[in-house]
Amino acid sequence: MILFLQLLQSEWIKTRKLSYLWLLLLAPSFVTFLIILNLILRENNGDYLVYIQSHDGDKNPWNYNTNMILFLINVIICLFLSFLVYYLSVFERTTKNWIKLNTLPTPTIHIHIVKLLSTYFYAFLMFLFTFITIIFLSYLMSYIKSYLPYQKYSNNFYLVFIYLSKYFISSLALIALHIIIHSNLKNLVILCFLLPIVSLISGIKYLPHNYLNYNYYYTNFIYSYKPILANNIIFFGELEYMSIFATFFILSLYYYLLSSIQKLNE
Amino acid sequence: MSNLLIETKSISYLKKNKFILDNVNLEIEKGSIYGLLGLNGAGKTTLIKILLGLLFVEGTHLKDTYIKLFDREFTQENRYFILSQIGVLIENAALYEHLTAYENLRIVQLMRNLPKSYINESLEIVGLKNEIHQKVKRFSLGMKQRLGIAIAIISKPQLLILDEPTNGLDPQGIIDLRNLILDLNKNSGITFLICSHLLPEIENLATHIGILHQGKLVFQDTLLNIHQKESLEHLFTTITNTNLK
Repeated sequence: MILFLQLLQSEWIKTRKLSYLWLLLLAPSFVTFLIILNLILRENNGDYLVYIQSHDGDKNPWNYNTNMILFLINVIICLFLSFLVYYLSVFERTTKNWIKLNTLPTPTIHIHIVKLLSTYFYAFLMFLFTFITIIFLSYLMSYIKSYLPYQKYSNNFYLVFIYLSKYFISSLALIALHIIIHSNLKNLVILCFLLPIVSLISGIKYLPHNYLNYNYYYTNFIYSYKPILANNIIFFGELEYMSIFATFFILSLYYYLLSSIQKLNE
Repeated sequence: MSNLLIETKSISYLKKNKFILDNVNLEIEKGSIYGLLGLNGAGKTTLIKILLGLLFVEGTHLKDTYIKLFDREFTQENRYFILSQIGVLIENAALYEHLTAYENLRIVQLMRNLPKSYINESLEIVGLKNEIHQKVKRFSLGMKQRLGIAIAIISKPQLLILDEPTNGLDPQGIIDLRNLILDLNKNSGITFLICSHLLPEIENLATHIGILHQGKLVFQDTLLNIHQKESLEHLFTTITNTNLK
């Protein structure tokens, strides 16, 4: 156990000064930028008024905000997360450290698991920064624009938290899959886009949302399906169960494959 | 107890129906500097990878085929003991360039579960004590190689395996590295296995010579014995000009 903690500490020393970690901040910043851009576009087009008129009585901006995040996170955060996982997985290869790591008197499987946990930690940080940024931005918008009463409905910000938590759980399996592929294959450029492709597919699945076509008038032309996510993201749906199942399945596969690789080396 | 630190018997390695190594019987004595010579593609790196357990050799369960290091057969049970006694530097040192020399050593110290004091000791041996908090990306190639050796010797190993350690070094870097190897061998009693295709470099360092050609270890003896009969260059040229197939 002590050795495992030491391995975690060594991984922390290795990764904490990596230049790629600016992605952790860049991703939430990009989401923030798009939220503001969207707000400006909507304001200029009077789109927000359309939204208020069509949802008489529902002036809770958190609903609107959550819908916006559904769309942005699938496309933006997922893309940045993919790059981060890619860089964290390949930097051992680019520094030619795998031979050194494999010749240490330490079980190789522990080294791989520590790497996975470290990547999860950074992914968690990315989601945490996104959450903080969105909450901060919402309150800021509420202060600047009086027609966005975020503060009035402040107890609703848990919607953002729930959605991000679910999305983090869903991303665990994909991160594990990414790392195991990076550990064993050399053609990394194509694989770097695995996560964005999956995110794009899931993004399209999330896209036909009830409110989305009001918030993003330019998505109207894609809006052709019935809402799949329902209107309530609090309860677990088919997608969440599948994500959790996939996470455990891929983690088991990860462990099994790495054990096999280790046996081959031994 | 045998005086041999490494002993392999009849090991072969087949890749894509081609013998990369064929029936290799390597014997390295304790306290020696063993220079393994061979042309590019002779199988030197493959042999090192096998000794480190990175490649799997079939048939090691047979009585007349084995790999022994430190009087122990390379099995799953002995793997961690054997690797704890070996330091490795393969070609250019694998370093984390965004970190300092100290941090690079701290990572290995933690992963090998060693006392913290070993970091300064190994840095002192390789003469990098003053550059301890300098980032590795600002190091010259010679300094990087010395840091690579510091990482390899941090666990105070009995055996140090160096594969083409002088690759890319300038003449002064080569001389510094040579002196360091001789010093470690003499004062710390570390046995060296050095792979190279540079004859003069090996001739200046090694006490024992092995020549690997087309996957076969065709010659191994002490340098003194070679010099009594002929020059190393002549011997090497004669062997490598022979087609064994």
